[in-house]
Parts: sequence; C-alpha cells; structure tokens
Amino acid sequence: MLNQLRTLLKENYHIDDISTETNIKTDLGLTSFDFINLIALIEDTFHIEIDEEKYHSINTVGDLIKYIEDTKK
Amino acid sequence: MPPEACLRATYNFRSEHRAKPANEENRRFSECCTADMEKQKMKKEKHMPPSDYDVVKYENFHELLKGIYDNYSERTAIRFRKNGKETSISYDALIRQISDLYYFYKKNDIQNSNIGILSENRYEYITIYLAGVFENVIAPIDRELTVDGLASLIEKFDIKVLFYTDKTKEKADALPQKDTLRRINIDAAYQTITQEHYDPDAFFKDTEHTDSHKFSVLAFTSGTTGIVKGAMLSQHNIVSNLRAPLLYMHLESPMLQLLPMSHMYGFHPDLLSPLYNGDTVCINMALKDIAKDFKYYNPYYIGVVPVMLEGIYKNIIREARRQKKEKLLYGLIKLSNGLRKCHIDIRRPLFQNLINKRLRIIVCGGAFLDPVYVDRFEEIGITVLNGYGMTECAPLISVNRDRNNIRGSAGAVIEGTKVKIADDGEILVKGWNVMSGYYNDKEETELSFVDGYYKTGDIGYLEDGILYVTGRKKNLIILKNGKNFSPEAVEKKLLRLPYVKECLVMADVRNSTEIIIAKILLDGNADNQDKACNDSGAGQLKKDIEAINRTLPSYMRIDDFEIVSEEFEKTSSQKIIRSRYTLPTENTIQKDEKQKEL
Repeated sequence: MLNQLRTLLKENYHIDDISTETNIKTDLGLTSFDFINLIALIEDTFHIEIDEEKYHSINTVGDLIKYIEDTKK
Repeated sequence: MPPEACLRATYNFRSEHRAKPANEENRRFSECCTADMEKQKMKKEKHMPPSDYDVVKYENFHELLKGIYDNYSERTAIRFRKNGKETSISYDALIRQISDLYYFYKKNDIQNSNIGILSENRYEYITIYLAGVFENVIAPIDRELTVDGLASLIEKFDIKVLFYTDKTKEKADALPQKDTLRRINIDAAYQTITQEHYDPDAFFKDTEHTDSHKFSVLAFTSGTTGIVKGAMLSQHNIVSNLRAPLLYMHLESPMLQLLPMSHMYGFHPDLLSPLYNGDTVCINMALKDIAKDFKYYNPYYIGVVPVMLEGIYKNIIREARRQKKEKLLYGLIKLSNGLRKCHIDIRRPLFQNLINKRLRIIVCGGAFLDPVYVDRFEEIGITVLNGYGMTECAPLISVNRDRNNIRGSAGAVIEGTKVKIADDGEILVKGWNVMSGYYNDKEETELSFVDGYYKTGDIGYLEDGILYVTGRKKNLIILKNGKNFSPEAVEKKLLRLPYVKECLVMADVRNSTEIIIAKILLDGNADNQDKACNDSGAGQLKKDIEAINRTLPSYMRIDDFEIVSEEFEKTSSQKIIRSRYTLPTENTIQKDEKQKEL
C-alpha cells in the first residue's frame, strides 16, 4: 500500500520521499486544494469513497493507509 | 489545513427586522444615486459605457423571483448529482418549493426570526434562503465553526431557528439545549415541510409589498481580527449586486457552482446571479469531484478563489506531465501565442480538452490574485476576470469586464457604487451595495463609516475608473523616515518562488535600526528545502531575495529573513492572522528598547 502511494505521489506531485509518519497536510507542500485533489486521485486509484467529514482525521500517510484498508474490508 | 477551508469564510448578524440603515446618508444616497452615478461614471470612464449588456432591473427578491418565474419557468434552474443520480430542477419547481417553504414559515410562526443555515452545499440551501428573506432574516453559517463558536454565534446574534443536515448534525446536537432555538434537520424534515403545496401566485401576492430596504440577510465576517461581526444587508443591497456582474460579462449556461454557499461570494454572485440571468447552475456537491464535474456538466463559467485557480492550473500541468506531454503543451502554447500576434486564434481546438470543451470565463475573487494566472489561462483560451468585494458590500465592489479585462486590476467599479480613495489611500465605498451597519454593534458601525462611506480597510487607487487594490491598511508598514508600503507587494514576489509556501514581511528594529524582515515557510518537499538553503553554501533563497530586492525601492527591500517551520495561523478563509506575528510599527522601537534592557 505504501509503495502504491509512493508511485501515486511521485507520478502526480514529484514527491518520492514519504514514510508512514509523513504528514500529508504539512510535509508535502500541498495547498488545501491540492489535498482535495489528492483525495480524488486516491478514490479513483483504490476504488473507495472518502467521506469529507473524515478529512480532519487523515493527517499522516499512516492514517491514510489505515483508512483505505478499513474501507476496503 | 482544514479541508476546503481555503474556500470558507465566517460571517454574521442583526437587530431590527425592518432595518433602517444606521447610516442615513448612505440610505439617501442609495435611493437616489442612479442618475448621479451614471453621470459620474460616464464622466470618469469616457472610454467605457456604464454597462456592456442589457439586464432587467429588479429591486428586491419578490421582483426577482417573479421575474424568473414569468420568464424562465420551463428552463432548468439547478442540476446536481447525488449517489450517482442526477436531479434537475426547473425554475417552475424551484419557485413552487420556495412558495411552499414561505408558507411553512408562516404557518409555523417562524416570523421576524433570525434563521441560521448550517449546511454543506446543496439544493435545499437555496430554497430555505430565498423563502426566508421575506419575513425573516437569513444567516448563513460557516460549518467549519467549532461547537463553542457556533453556540456563541447563536447566542450573540439571536438565532431562533437553525437548519442543519446529517453532515452538521454532530455540531447541532452538541449545542446547549435551549427552548429558544428551534432545530430543523434538512435531511430528515425537508420533504415533510414542503409537502403542502401552495399556488405561487398567492406567494407573489403576499410578498408584493416587500420593502426593498428591509434587513433580510445577516452575513458574518470575522476578518483577521477573529471577532465575528454581522453585516446587515437589505434585499436591495443584494439584488442590485446580483445584477452588477451580468452588466459586464456575457454568461451562458451552465455554470458550475464550487464555492461554499455560506460564503457571500459563493452564494450571491456565484449562484444567485446566474439564476437572475435565467441560467442553469450545476452544484458541485464535493470539491474532490471537481474534475469529474467539469467533464460531466461541461460548464461555460465558474467562480473561484485564487487558491483554486492556481490549483486548477497546476492540475493541468500535472496531468500533462503524467501523460509525458508537458513539453508538447508548452510548445503548443508558444506556437499559439505566436499565432495570436498575427491575429490567428487556434486556442479552442488546441486546448479545449485541458479542462472541458466549453469553459470560457472564470471569475476570481476573495483574495489577492497573482496576475500571472490571468495570462496563463488566457493562453489556453479562458478569460479570468478578477473582482473585488467585501461581505459588508453584498459583496461585489468592482469587477473586470470581459470586453475590458485589465490584468492586475480589480476592474471597474460596479453600477450604483461609488468608490473614493481617502488621503491615506484607504478605499471608501458607498452605494446600493453597502450594508446598513453591524448587528447590535453601534460602536463598530460608527467606526466603519466616514462621511457616509464604508471604510474597507484596504488600500488602493483608481485610474480611469479602474480600481487597483494594493494591500490591507492595517498591514501597511510605516517607516520612521515617513515612507510606507504594503508588505503584500513584497510577499507576492516571494510567493512566486516555487519553494516558498507561505511568507510574511514586516518591520523590525535591531540595534536601533529599522529593518525589513521576511518570515518564510518553505514548501515541505525536501528537495525544495535543499535547493533553497544549501545551494552553493549561500542558499538559493538568499540569491533569490537579492534578485527580488533589486526590483524594489530601497525602503522596501528585505534586510533579513527567517525560515519558520510551521504554517502561519490563519482565519477560516485561509488568510494569515498577521497580528499574531507582527507588531505595529510604532511598537517595534519599544520592543527593541525592552530587548536592550534585558
């Protein structure tokens, strides 16, 4: 999962240095609009729906992986 | 960085329903200014007519709703998609539902009340708002507010009815239980409250004598001070403002509505103006679906804030890069630019698939727009029209015209509005669009007006009737040598550096010498940080600041900079709360002296 996210971030944002601790909102240089676009990309890639009310609880790459895994179950 | 916070703003409230404008002069002006304004505008703007397009004139919501019912009944007013299913609402159905809700309010004794709407963007927002403005006051509420903030807002601004949704239920339920607040869940109750049908003709008869100057909307504004104020707006303030952009730009259906409806810009010019025009508005239900909605609805125009405009452009480049067509794109842009010089325009066939086929106009407002983006979009055949407004002005003050788009400006002052520049450079406004005052706040109202003009707190200048906004008055850096400048002018240069994410420029005093410093937050990307700080030992940032300094007058040059590690604290509309990081200029001397004492 981490590798898939790495590929997605590298292809779309030229970011390749991430770990589960990386904070998506503050460490990647994304604006709030970029963050929302990233959510859309993740939804398309992993075929899931991310509820916008949950955005505030997704901060790190680890949070995102957990959310994707929980949703896909 | 709260989600979608870039698009949100906080607003507020009122006191007497039949609002007599606090500022009598402003009201008198507002009642008789048509001819006067036209003469003045014609004098000032000899080369520009007062309007470019003919648009019917309505004075209040009764006239507006009757007008669109009579003229566009069969047309589609609203489209939206929910759970993959599209709903289409005609003007006829829209007016009928507004009429049903109007009588729901009446029959349930909801009259002379302040009605709060705590909701995400959705169709019902429109009907609740438009049915409520006649006998009540509508108060759109920012759903990003905390429960405490919401509770205090409800208390302070006498909200008696609160519409909320399943998405905002948690906050609504957490409010202190009070008999004085009636709560209505739109998801649970909307069908029930609109199930009794009424003849729209009866609704139009009952609202026939609507007072155009009645206080009808309480618009909250917190600004960068954090104190929520409620701008009291009349129907005439709003309805005249809805017409204004239509006079200056040719708009076609459909438009894609993206901004939060609780935001004055997101609801008035962005949603109600197209309805005024009989156009179809497609509601974007979640910002993450923006790319899909562009393709699905194929809009002719959209309204955005600068951060979205920049984001849309970056998406175009990112997609080109992903498809390994970035070089091709830049090559085609270069070719097209060259051909345009020879009056050959092939932008549509070349670039129509970058966003969608029809998009021609983007209206941008809400914050400073880097004019570079006006050029970038123009290159691909999309006109970006920048405007300027304030919540207190319903909100539009000026906007660029599609026939006279002036890069870097905030456009022409709209019809019915007069702008003058105070001796200290502050932009002052009076006219049809200006609020009557702040709700239950005489002191703040008095402070906000001078000689009948609303003090915007922004500084700028007028040139041939075109308004240029240069910065916030309270941000002005006043130096001991009498020179002064807006830090925003320097900040916008820093923000063009690709590795600078946020920055603040301010005056400081070191060793009794006044200096200009920049606090800079670098883009979180590690590569960028390295480039900025470690290049050749001296750092790219230092070199770039030296280059920027060479473009500035000596008193505006950055003497020193500091790299900060955390984002600056911001308001809900994503404006940095500058006062948290800067001292008024006069205090910098005292601070320096205190430091010396220590």
